[in-house]
Amino acid sequence: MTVIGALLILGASCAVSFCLIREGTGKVTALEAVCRLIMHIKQNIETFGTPIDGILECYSSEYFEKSCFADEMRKNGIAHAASCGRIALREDAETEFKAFAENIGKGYRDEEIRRCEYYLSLFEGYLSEEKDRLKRYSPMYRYLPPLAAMSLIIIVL
Amino acid sequence: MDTKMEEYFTESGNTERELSAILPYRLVSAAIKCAAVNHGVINEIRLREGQPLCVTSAGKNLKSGRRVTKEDIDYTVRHLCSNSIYSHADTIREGFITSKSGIRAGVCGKAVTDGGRITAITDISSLCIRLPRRVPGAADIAYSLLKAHRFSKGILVYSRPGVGKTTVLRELACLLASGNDAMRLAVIDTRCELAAGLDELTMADVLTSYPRAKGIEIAVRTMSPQYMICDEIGNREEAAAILEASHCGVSFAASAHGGSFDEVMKSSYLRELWENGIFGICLGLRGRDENGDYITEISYFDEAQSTAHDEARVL
Repeated sequence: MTVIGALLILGASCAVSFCLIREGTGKVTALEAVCRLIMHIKQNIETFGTPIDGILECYSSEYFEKSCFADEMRKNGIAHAASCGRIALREDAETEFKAFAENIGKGYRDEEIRRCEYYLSLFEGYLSEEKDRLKRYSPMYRYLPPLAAMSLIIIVL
Repeated sequence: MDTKMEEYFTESGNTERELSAILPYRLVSAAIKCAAVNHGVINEIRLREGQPLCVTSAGKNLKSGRRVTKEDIDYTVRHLCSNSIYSHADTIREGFITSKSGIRAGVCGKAVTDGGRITAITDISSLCIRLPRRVPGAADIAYSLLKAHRFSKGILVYSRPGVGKTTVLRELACLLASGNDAMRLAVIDTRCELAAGLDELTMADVLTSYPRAKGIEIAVRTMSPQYMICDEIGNREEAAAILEASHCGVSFAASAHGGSFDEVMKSSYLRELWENGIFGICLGLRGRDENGDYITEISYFDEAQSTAHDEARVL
């Protein structure tokens, strides 16, 4: 019974560790996908002046397809898709993404290019922060819960 | 239900669908109700900020009880532009927006200028939405005139604004580019409304959004058309492009603003085209009779530089 209990505690701690790492990686992946999307929109506006619906129709990304964001975006537009919260972004990044999605297409070409550049640099900032955080905390996420669990087991035993 | 009423309801249903894509629904229903009173189809809708919605139907200007708000205008502009003002910036600066479905809206607002050049239009306060209509038979007279001359002559269609020049050219494009006797046709659709919604242009190459003169030059150089159609010749540069292209053996169907043949000929570049025999036929649209048929005025160019006027009521 003691062994089973110990294994359960250890297993739970490993799951916590796995979830923490996955969450951190998920945020990085989401931010990378958003940065690529903004870059794609910017390039299309700059080069072809394609309407936003046309740009999004032909855009594909593995992350957006998996999260069903791409589907939503093609059907109901980027503003609606952003408001559905299908992307795992941190709170401040989500607010900014909603603002971007809400306003894109409302201005003239130069204005839109500047808007894309502003949001691109903002999201690149978030991305580097998240990457840093993941780098700093991933050893802790990886080792702390199992070590804590082992300590608990030792104390209890 | 008689055929005319049936046609009216079908037309209203199509209009409702068309309008729902660009207007807030409360304005769509107001416009349709307004036109229904007159038992006519909607030709134009005018949105002026703070003013009642106006509808032009069967030649009458009707006012609706609904007032247009700034939000209504913003909504309409956004939807006309497919949520992308930047992709229509050039045409907005020229005073119009053409939607994906070929609906053209005239735009009025506050111009931002730089050295006399309009760089942007802000605070859009008025929109004049023109609904393109297929009117089968509208170009029958023009087509038969061209056929009588074995399509060797060009035709200039003129009228006052809103009478139906573009409709005639659109239907003429269909007649020329489809069927067994189809010709190689180039349509210079600068404002994206001439070829909008035309599926039967089997032998036509459509140059969409090209500046007219450049489009004519490119079409002649690369598409080897037998006939070319373009809307509203508006300046000397465009007239020069037509003159140049006609030297390559291409005939033209084009349109111009003017209330009468004499008024059209007051424009020096149109007179030059006429005197050079580019248009062998000048077809004036005077309006429509009680049956909805065009009342026309036809002038022919003859080699002796004289013109014969012939007024005809087309049935």
